Amino acid sequence: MTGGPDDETRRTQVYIWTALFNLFLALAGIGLMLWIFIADRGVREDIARRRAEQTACARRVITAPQPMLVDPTEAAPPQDRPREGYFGKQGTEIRAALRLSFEALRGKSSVPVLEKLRLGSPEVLPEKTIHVVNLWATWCEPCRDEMPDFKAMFARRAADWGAQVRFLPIQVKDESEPGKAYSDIERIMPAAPVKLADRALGNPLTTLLESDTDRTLFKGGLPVTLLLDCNRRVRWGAFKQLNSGSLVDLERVVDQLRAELEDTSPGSWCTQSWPGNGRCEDGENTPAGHVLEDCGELKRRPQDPAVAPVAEVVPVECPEGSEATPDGRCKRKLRGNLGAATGTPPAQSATCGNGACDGGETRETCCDDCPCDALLVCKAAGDGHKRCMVKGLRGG
Amino acid sequence: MNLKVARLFVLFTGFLALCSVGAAALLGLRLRTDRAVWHELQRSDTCAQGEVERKGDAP
Repeated sequence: MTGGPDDETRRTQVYIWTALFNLFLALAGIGLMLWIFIADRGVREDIARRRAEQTACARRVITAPQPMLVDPTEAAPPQDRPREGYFGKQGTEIRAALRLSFEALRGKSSVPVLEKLRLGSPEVLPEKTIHVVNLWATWCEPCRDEMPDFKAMFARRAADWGAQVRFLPIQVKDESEPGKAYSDIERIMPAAPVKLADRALGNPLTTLLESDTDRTLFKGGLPVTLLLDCNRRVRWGAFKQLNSGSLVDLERVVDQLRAELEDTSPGSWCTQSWPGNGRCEDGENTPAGHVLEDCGELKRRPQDPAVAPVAEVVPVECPEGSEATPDGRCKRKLRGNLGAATGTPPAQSATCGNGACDGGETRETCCDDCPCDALLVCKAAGDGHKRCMVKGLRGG
Repeated sequence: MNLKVARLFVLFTGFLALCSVGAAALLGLRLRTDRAVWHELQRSDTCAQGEVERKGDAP
C-alpha cells in the first residue's frame, strides 16, 4: 500500500521539523563551542602568565638549608601585655605566628580552592589594612553564635570601612574539611577574602599563641577575636563570645586604628620601620637582612643579575693511564701500553710473576703482578710480553 | 520541497549537530584539564623546582 500525496506532505513536514531541530542543536553546539573556546583561551593565558611569573621570580638565593631568620637590625617598639579588651598603644606582636602556613580558601567556598598560605603573606594580611582575626571551630557553639554579630557590624560599617578593615576567620582545633566548614557558616559570617584552617598536627597556631606565658594570646577556649593594626600587632582581643558591649568596644578601637592608618605624617605609628611590621622595607629583602614574615621567602627579582655558573675545572696534567683531549679533558687510554704505541716495549722486571707489585714494577712492565685499569686485562701481546689490553683485542 | 530533499536536509543537519556537539564536548574536556592545571599552579606558592638554589650554610 503506497501513501497518497497527503501522506507525503505529512512526512515532508516531519522531516523539515526534524531538520529544524537538528539545526537548532547544531547552532547551540557551535555557540557552546565558541564560549568554551573563549573561556579556555583565558585560562591558557592565565597559565602562561603564571608560568612566566614563576620562571622570572624563581631563583631563590636562600643561603641556609632552612628559610633564614636574621636577627633584626632595627629594634621593634616595646609590646604591651595582652589583656581582655584594649591592649595599649604598642600592642602585642605575633611574628612567630606569621611564619606559619595554613590551608587557605580564597573567594567563595562554593568553589573551594584549597591552597597553602603563610599567615604573614600579603594575600592573607595585606599592608595598610586592619584585620579582625577570629579563631573558631565547627564544634564551638559560641563561635557560631557571634558570627551574625560580626556580619551585622561589617554590613553596617561597610561604607566607611571599605577594604581598610578585613575579617579573617581561622578554623582551629578542628579536623573538619575547611571547604565544608566554611560553606556551612558562610551565610552568617562577614565576607572574608581569605579563610584559613589550621588542621596541622599539634595545632601550631594555638600552641604558639598560648606558649608565651608573658604575652598569652590564647587561653584554651574559643572563640578568640584579635584585632591587628597596620603593623600586624594585636591591639585588642577577646577570649570569649563577644557581647554587645565588647562589640561596641571593638568598633571603637577599629575606628581608632583606621585613624592611625590614615595618619601618614613622618614618624607616625603606621609609617615606622622595623622587622615584623608587615611591610617589606629597605634591606629586608636582601640575604643579609631578610625578614621572612614581612617579605616572604627571599627571591631573586627579575632585574637582578643571574648568578655566574661555576667555571669547569680543566685539568692541566692527566693522571697515569689517561691522555688529554683537545677540549681539555682527560680520557682513559684503552690501549694499555704506551710502549706498544711507540713500538718500543718496556723491559720486563726480573721479579715479574712473583705475585707482588714490587717497587719499580708498573702495570706497563709487569701486568701479571700490577693490576690493569678497569676494562683492561693482562694478556700476551705479539712480542711475547704480557700487557694491559682491551678484553677481546688480539695482541700484536 | 519534495520528500527526497527534506530527507537529505535532515541527514545534513543531523551530521552538523553531531559534529558541533561532539566538538563542544571535546573542548569542554580540554577546558576542564586546563582549569585543573591552573588550580595546581595557583596552589604552588614557591618557585618552580629545579630553579631553587641553595648555597650552603647561613652566614
